[in-house]
Order: sequence, then C-alpha cells, then structure tokens
Amino acid sequence: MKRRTLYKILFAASVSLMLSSLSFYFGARIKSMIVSSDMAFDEAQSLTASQSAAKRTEGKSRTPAKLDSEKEWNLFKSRFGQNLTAEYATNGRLAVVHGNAGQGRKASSAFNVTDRQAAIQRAREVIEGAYDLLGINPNSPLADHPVARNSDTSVQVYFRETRGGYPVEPNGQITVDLGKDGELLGLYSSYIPDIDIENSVNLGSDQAKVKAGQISVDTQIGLRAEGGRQILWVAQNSAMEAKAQGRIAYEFLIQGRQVVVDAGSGEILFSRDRRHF
Amino acid sequence: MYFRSRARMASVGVLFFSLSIGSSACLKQGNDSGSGPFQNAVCVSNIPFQINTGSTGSAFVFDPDPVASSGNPNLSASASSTSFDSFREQVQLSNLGGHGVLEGAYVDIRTSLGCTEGFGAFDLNNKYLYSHSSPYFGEAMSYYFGDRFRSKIDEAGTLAPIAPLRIVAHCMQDDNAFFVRGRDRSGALVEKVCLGDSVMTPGATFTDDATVVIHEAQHGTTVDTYSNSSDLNQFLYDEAGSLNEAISDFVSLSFLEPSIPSSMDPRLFSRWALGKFLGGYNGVRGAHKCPTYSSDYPECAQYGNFSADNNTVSYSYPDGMGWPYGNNFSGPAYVASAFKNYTSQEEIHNAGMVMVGALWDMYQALKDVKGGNQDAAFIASHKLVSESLRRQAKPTFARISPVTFVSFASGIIDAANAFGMSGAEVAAVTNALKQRGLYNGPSVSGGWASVGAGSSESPGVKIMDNGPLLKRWIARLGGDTNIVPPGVGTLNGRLDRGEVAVIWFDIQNNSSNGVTAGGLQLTVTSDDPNVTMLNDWYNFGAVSSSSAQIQYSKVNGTQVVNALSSSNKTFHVPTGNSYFATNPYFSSTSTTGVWVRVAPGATRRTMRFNVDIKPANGNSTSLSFPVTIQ
Repeated sequence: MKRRTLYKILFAASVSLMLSSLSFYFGARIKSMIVSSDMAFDEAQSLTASQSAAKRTEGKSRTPAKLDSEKEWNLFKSRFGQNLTAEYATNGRLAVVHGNAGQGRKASSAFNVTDRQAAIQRAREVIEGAYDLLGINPNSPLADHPVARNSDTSVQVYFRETRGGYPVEPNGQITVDLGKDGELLGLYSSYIPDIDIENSVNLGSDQAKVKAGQISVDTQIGLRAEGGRQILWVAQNSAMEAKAQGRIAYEFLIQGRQVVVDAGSGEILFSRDRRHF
Repeated sequence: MYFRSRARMASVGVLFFSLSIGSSACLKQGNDSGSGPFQNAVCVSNIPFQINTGSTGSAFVFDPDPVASSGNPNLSASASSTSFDSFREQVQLSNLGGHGVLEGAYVDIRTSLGCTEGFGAFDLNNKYLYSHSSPYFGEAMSYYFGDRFRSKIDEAGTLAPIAPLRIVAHCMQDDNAFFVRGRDRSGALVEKVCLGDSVMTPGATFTDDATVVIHEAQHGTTVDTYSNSSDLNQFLYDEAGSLNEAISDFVSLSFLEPSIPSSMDPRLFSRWALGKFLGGYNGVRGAHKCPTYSSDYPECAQYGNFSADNNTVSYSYPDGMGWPYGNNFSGPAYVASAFKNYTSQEEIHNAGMVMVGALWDMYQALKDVKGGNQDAAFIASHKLVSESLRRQAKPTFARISPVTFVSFASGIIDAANAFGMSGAEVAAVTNALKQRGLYNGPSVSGGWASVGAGSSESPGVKIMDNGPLLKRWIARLGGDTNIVPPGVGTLNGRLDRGEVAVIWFDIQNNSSNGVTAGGLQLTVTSDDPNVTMLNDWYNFGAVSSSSAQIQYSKVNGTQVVNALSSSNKTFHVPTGNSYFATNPYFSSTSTTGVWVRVAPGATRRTMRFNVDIKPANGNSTSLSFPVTIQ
C-alpha cells in the first residue's frame, strides 16, 4: 500500500473514531437538537420552520385514524417542553395545551415579548409543530394576518381559520399564549378540520341587512345597526362532525344582538344577545 | 327647550347652518322621541373638523353621583331635575379632540335622543356647563368619567380597546346600561357603551351615575383584554359571566373611591341608579364580606360563618355564591327569607359578589403595602386583573366555557409573580384571595357525586315541558317558537315522544368532608339517537346532536346545610346537599337547562343521559341519569 493511501485510511479512521466518540458522549443531546427549537435556534432556522409549514399546505390533512397522536404529541413536547399537558376534543383533535411560565423550551435569545412580529413567528412555529394534532387542512388555512397582543410578561397570538376565503365563525380559532421568553404557556383550538360549503351567495349585504332587521327583539334601542361582512358560519353543534356544514352568511349587530343571515336563502341562521349589562 | 334664550337658540342655529354648508355635518332636528324632559334635542352626525376648540374644557358633573355630591343619602331620584344643580361640581375636561363636541383620545360621546348616535352637546369654547335638566349634562358626565378612567388605565398600560370608546347617552335602553361588541362590514371591531334612561323613575338617567359609566367601560376593557374575538361569557349562566360583572363592579369602586365622602361607604356599587331608580327595590351591590341582611353587616365580624339562627352569611367561595346582596327581605329570619324568596341565585350580577369582594380586599391589601397610595394600588390591581384575563383559557370544543373564579384567582397570583412584585405584595394578593376561598380552598372529596332525588315526575331530573313557557323562553332567545310542537305530552314533567323540553340534573353532593362543590362544568350526552340536543341557538354549549355543555354554580355540601339548619321553623333554611335543593328556583328560567328534542318515532324505553361533571374545586366524575321516554 502506498504511504499516501495509508495516511488517508488512517485519517478517515481517526475522524470516524472521533465522531463516534462524540456521538457516544452527547448521544441524546444531538438527537434532541435535531428535533427541538431550543435556544440555539436562531432566526434563520425559525424562518425555515415557517416556510416548511407553508410547504405542508400543499399536502392533504391526515385523518385521526392515520395519525399517531401519542408519537406526534411526544414530538411536540420535545420541541416545546416536556412540562406540557394536552386535552383533546371528542373528535380526537388537540384542543388545549397547558404550560407554565418559566418552564418549557424558550424561543431564540432574540425573542422579545413586546415584539409582535417575533411573537407571531414563534406562534407559527408552535402551530406548525402541532399541525397534524390540530387537524389543520390545507383547504382551510389560517388567515394571513394573525393578531398579537402583549403585556410586559406575556403575549397572545390569535389565528382565524378561513375556508374558501371566508373567515370561519363562530369557532375556527387558534390562540397561542407565550411567556416572556417565548415559552409556550397555552394553546387553545376550536379549529374545524373539514368543512363543506353548502350554499352560494344570492343576496347582497344590504338585502341581508333587511332580513336581519326583521329579527324579533324585546326592546328598541337607539343604536345603529352594524356589520354586513361575509363569513362562513358553521353551527357549533356540527363543527366536530367528519364533514362540518358551512354556510356563507352575513353577520350583523342589531339592537345589541348578533344576527347571522344566510347569504343564499336569506334565512336567519343564528341570533344571540351580545349585550353585557 | 334647553336653550336659555331665543337669541342663543338662533345663534346656535346659524352656526349649525353654516357647518352644514362647510362640511358633511347634517343637522337633525330633534323629534318627540325620548321620555320625560329629554325631548327635542339636537344632533350633529359627524365631527365638525373645521372647528378648532382646543383639547381642554370644562363641565358640570356629579362626582360620582348626586348622593355623594350632595352628601345626602336620602336624596330622591324623583326630585325636580333642576334642584340637583346645586350639587354639581365644575371640573376640567382633557384629551378633547378640539372640534366643539365631546369626543377625544379615549372616548367618543354620542346621544340617541332625537337621532341615532349623533353628537348632542356642542360648544365653541368647550364649556359643557349644563343644568342637570339638560340632556347634554349626561353626555358631559360620560365624557368626564370615561376619559378620566381610560386615561388612567392607559397610564397603567392596560388600555383596551385602544381606539376611543363610543359611549351613547340616552340610548333608549330602559332602566339599564350595557356594553356590546361586534364587527363592521370590513371585519373591524365595533364597541359601544349604551347608557339608558329610567322608565320606572321618569327623568332619571344612568348617565348621572359614574359607577355605571365606568362599569360599562370596563366591560369593554375586560372583553378586549381576554380575547380579540371570543366572548368571556359563553353561557347564560357561567362563572366567566359573573367574573365579567365582578370585575366591572370592582374597577368602578376602586377607581372612584377617592370621590366618596368619608361619611359614606366606598364599597357600595351604584347607590344612585340601582339604589334609587327601581321603585323601592334595592339593587345596590357591594364589596363587603357579607350581605346587608347578615346580622354582622357591614364589617362582617362573623365572616366565614353561616348560621340560620344568627342570620349570618359569608361571601366566601363557593358557599357564598348566589346569596343576594341587598336587603329586600323581611325579618326576623332574614337569611331564611332571602333563601326562600330570592329567585335569581345564578344570575351573573348576583353571583359575582364573592369575586367583587375578593378583588376589593386585594386592592385594599395592596394599598396597605404601598403606604396608603390609592393610585398605585389601583394601577397594580388593574394590571393584575388584566394579566390574568389575557392568560385565561379560551373556548374550545373540549370546554366551551373554560374560565372559572378559581382559574382567574390563580392567574392573578401568577401575574403578581411574573410582574416581579415584592414578597409583601405577592403575600397581600395571595392572602386576600385565599381568605375568600378562591386560592387553595377546600376541595370536594373523591366520589363526591351521586344522582339526587330529582322531581316526583322524573326521578333524578327535572323536565320542563310546559309549551307556552318554553315558547316565552325561546322568544327571549330570539329563536323559532314553532319548534315546540303543540299538544304533545306537555305539562307532565316527563319526556314524551315528539316533544321539546328543557332538562336539569339533580346532582347530590356526598363529599365526606362536607365541602360544597363550586363552578360545576357539565357535559351531558344522550345515549339515544332519538333524543337529541337542540342546536347552539338554544343550547349555548351544544357540541353535537347528542352532547351539550352547561354550568351549575354550586351544589351544597353537608357542612353549610347543617349550618343553615335550625330547630326554629321560622329561621330554618330549607336547603339541602343536591343541586335542586341548593337553588330552589333553578328551573324558573332556562339559564342552566339543556334543551332536548324527542323524535316522534322514538322507542318507548329508558334511555340515559351520561353527565360528566368537573367542579372547580375537585376532580371530574361521571353520573348516569336514566329517563323513561313515554
């Protein structure tokens, strides 16, 4: 064997030996760094995670039968904190995550609770981590502009589900509650995985407003009627069915009552007194 | 009729005419709508931006109400309106937009007298110095207190909503006031306070009571802080709704404490509107440790005790939940009388008393730690309340109404620690909440629940199938009364095929330590596909055709039942350790009922309602209630 070749072989063997020693030494730590978003996670990597979330939207949602919830949950905890606990809705979807201030995985060292864009980014990471558990469907994406609200010690980010371009109401929300260091304090989801839109728009907003004004109320208050935006109304009691029923509707506030009018038929789908006395 | 001279009326008329030429402002002459002396007011629809009047001004107000301003606790709301003018105080207005109307950085005051949400009060010099008999007086009151309050919470860092809050004086709500939130056509939030006038006492108006103005404004802050989209209240009765009311009462009391004369009790909410407008009924609420009919009121030296013989009740959690505050009962057995005659135990304003008092105690304790500094104590308290609110759980299908008194109290203590408050401050907050049973309180023991006696017609449950009554309830919900089929097995208290009914479950509390179960979250599931839950128009907690959630305020433990028992029949409180015996009027409204429909073709059989129960002070348990379909 030529000397140069021998040196190459010896060098390769040395490197291999060193690497395997390191693996032995650090073992689980290396594995956890691969799957976690711990303090070593810088902004660039966070952005990559968000982009990977975007790529996921091209796929199909996984049904509960195919989803290994326990495995997914363990993966989620390894990223965001072993202290976290979960509650599920009766349709098997993740409904609630509980955490504690000062515990769990922190966001990157650049995280600042008063930086709302950073909070939104962090919240997107959390949602991406629970994507399958939440049952997020690429056909029902979360609206582009979530709302973040903060104090000095926590920030809450509110996401709204959309379907066919319409905001889903009255549920279809995901709220992510983050602590001072971006640790996950809570996640609350009323996301609806699959919605069938059952009608189309036949009425304009002004026509629907006339229908809404016909709602019977027990008092005549001197407040202007408000509203007229288009929403996708999914009655709460159908939201957890395999295929929830959604109807395009107009939403109004009339005499202190929320009134929802079917955009196809003009039927009043829902009415509730929203006054806080 | 509210202009002092014809010359003045003419000059104002000319001014408005010129405004209507120069801007999009339109003058709407008042009509005869409105009650009593509040007629023929004049409105301006839009802000007259071409006018520049500066950001400060002056106004006459009551601070915070005619009783406090006059120093006369016996002042009648029926007295002549102009006689109250001697109680007015002149104050400075700040943060005005500077266009001659009462709008500014924090509030935007409108009126619905003679128009809908227009500007009423107008002055080129920002001098809103009105007689009490003027409809604009209430607008000035609303601006002064709304602006002062919201600028203070801005200073605290807890301002919400950020945009100026619209307050509509004389909004045509009879004998009440409210806050409401919705969305406009673009999806942006629309948030308004409506301050009504009294019909029971003509000429009296809720704008004259600053505790009401701030109570309603705080509703906006509470709801906005909790979530930008979900409401805090989810059911007609839930602890979240009572919390919402309690926070508003507390914030109003603590903010206005410096305005109360030393001869008067600062712990009384709405001594004017709720105390004087309601035709002899005392609707005043308070932050005391006991109600007014408790023999140890007002200092509540017997706090912690319940006794029928001694007439004592304590506002501690959960036993104190639901006891009314005002003494509208006859003696000598006041406590027994309150229990027998008060029909609205679980009404959210009434059920908030324990929390109002707890927050007041917390605020006073912080004031002590801060050397008597009221301003600092108010700011600290508001920050704690706001932080706990924002961190509370949001509605999900697992739990439609997740917020409880206990979770909120826990959130306050977490907030105190997160803010880095001193050890003394954290201890003060913790002790105040603990003393009220809201933190580390006693829990019900394992296996605490069983099926109670129920009704004679349907053991274990109560079924309301009175068609006309159900239709009245449905009408109040804004629903379709035709869903109640006529003449189908009504009024027998049983489930008949084809009928719609409301059902309650008699949960018995057998906790071995005698502790009352509080804040009960129920998930009710029908095991018969022919017995279904009505949708969320009726069942606010409906999650499927077979399942709905609801809340009960409390189920007595044997400890308090024994304390309220007496060998003297007059003093004996006829309560018991089941839900039906805890609140004897539980079925007088549909507030805590579950709406069900039985299919016409249902099989006559005994089906089951499976009820999962989670008390705020204990572990979950499940009960099965058999019901026979007739």
